[in-house]
Amino acid sequence: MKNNNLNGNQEFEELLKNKMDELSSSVDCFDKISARAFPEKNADFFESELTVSGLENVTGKRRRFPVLKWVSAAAALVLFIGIIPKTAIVNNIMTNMNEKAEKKLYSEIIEEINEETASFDYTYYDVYLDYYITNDMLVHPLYSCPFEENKNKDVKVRIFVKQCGENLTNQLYAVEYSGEYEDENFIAAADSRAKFTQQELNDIQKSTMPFYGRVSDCADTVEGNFDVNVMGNTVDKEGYAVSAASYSSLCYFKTDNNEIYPLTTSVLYYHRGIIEDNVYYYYDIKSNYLVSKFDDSPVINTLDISNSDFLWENSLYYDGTSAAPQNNQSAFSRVELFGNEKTTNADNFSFYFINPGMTHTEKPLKMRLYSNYSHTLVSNIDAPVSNTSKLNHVIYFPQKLMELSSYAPLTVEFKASGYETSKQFYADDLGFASKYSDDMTEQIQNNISLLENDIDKLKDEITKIDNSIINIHDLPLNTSEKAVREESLEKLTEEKQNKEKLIEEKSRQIDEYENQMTLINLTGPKG
Amino acid sequence: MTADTKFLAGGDGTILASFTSLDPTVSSSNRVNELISCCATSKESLSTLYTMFKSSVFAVAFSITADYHLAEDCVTETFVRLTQIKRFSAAKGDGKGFILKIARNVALELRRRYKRDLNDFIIQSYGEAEQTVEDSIYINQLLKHLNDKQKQIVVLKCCAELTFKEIAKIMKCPESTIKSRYKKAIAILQEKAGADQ
Repeated sequence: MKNNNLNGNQEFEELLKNKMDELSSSVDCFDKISARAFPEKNADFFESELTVSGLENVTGKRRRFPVLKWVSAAAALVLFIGIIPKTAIVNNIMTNMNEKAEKKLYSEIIEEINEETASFDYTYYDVYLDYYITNDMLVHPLYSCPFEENKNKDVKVRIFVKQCGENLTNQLYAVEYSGEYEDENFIAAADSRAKFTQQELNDIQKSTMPFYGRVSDCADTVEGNFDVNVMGNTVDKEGYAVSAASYSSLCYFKTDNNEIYPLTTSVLYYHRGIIEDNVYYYYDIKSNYLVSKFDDSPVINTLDISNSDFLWENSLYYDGTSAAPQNNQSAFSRVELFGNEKTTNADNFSFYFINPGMTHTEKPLKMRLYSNYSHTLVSNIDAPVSNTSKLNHVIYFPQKLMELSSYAPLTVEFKASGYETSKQFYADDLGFASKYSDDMTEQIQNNISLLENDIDKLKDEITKIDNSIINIHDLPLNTSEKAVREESLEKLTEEKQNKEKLIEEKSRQIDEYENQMTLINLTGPKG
Repeated sequence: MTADTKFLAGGDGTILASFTSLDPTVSSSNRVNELISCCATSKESLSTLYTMFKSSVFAVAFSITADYHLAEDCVTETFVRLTQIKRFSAAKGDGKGFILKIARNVALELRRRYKRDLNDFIIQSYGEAEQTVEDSIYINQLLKHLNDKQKQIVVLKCCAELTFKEIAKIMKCPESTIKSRYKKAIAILQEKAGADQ
């Protein structure tokens, strides 16, 4: 059919809309919807306990109500349960039946994902299934891949993470799919055990319990677990040269007991060798949260969870069978690193760290750290995938290397599929264990306190101005004094506005200081 | 609900982030959200939603199924499912987008189920009325040069009158991708229209 009217976007849009409206105007299915959504329980046919669907098959032929069949089936079931001895097989069957009844269907998970992502804030990222299975610690520190291996190497997993304001939670969904992310391409779906209600999200946002975060924890752990050899390389306790890095992931974590913690999960990981690309990683993980806040010595608790705990609720294929992996194929193997901390100061620390950043790309990135002085490879390590983890990601390298190279700049090369770039880092970008960070933190904290005092004073002054304005309004208006009072009011209002601007400016400065402090403590000082 | 994140410092280099809550503001003007929230129990709300969105839901469904009767079934199924929703947030949700998202999922589901019957793109069931048949063929002819995604984007834009941002949310794609696909779709349609003429 020809379309003689199609001359521009506008015309086409109108044409399509008109035709579609014409077509949909003949649709009239509200009665059908209403009948399904609000079934009338007192309808006549209900009295006989028979429905149309129960009486007719597709050909319209009347069929007998299978009373006898159901009575015999029920009797058989009673006999089966009551008479047959409770052997292991019977028990197993009964347990499986109960489990199946409680388990969700695949379509219910997909429906839940659609509902959740439409109604709440979610962040998501995609990784290849193979990558997730092997490098689970880089994809999520607590949620290993919920799906088993697939022969098709192009299969991907989309991970949805529920947000609470700007922060993440541990309510996750994962969808395995091939090709484009389309319902028809879905292979399997999984949901986490944790589910947050709107009320819980509201409560979290009202609470003032902060996240705990201290990069020196990991830096001290690096100091305690690694050494530097004569060649200037980082080595583990057995003398193997290693590439090491760490990251922290913050999320509101809901336990199976419905307790919610602002959890900071730190992962320190390394592999032996500096040049090798196909590596086997060692790692340690710890999850901390603050018990008391704003004290000089905050009380920290540890939550004993790790990636090896399967925190997913369901993992199902399209046909309803389990998609959960049978065994762990992760390239990450847990070793004990946390607990072996070594406190250092500005005179005796051995390792520097840098934050490579690259928070704009959620691709599996390979990073190679070079010294510009000798053009030698210092570290070769993979970055965590999510941007929030990259924010707090640091690579460690020996302080000796910087000394030997007269503090020449370093280059980090970033490589991902179809993507390659590099960044320069200078001496000012380097961080080291606790001493420097703490000194800087104290200084910034003092500045913040001064600014906060200023703001309090300004707020008091504004209150006084408000009172003066009210008093002037309350005075009976005298014609001769009217002009003078108007002028006074104007001046007071202007003064109030100026003070409000000052508060805004000082609040902005506080924000800047706080951001600066976050960077110092989590990723090392910035120049 | 939104929250202002504030970073404060504790001792020993601890980073503390606290949250100043902002009161949740349920927009009273957001009637659609409220209607969705109570359509499970109120036939009147459901009827209002049906009147408001029947055309858009049908358009989305037709762009996917290319079949009048299947699209009609999608309309039924979409509104029935809407009454079964338990976790929609009236304060926060995007009602219109939510309904169209359900419509899209239902249409994809029905198309997958009846894929074998839909292999022939032109010979479909269009309903009995002559006008309906004509309109159905017309729209299918109009959209036949577009791929699946382009069709959906064009219909969501033109018939459901959604913004690119809203379409991006429904199709789970970046907004820029939606824009470029739409631009390309329109270019194809104009080119094909020129060729037809």
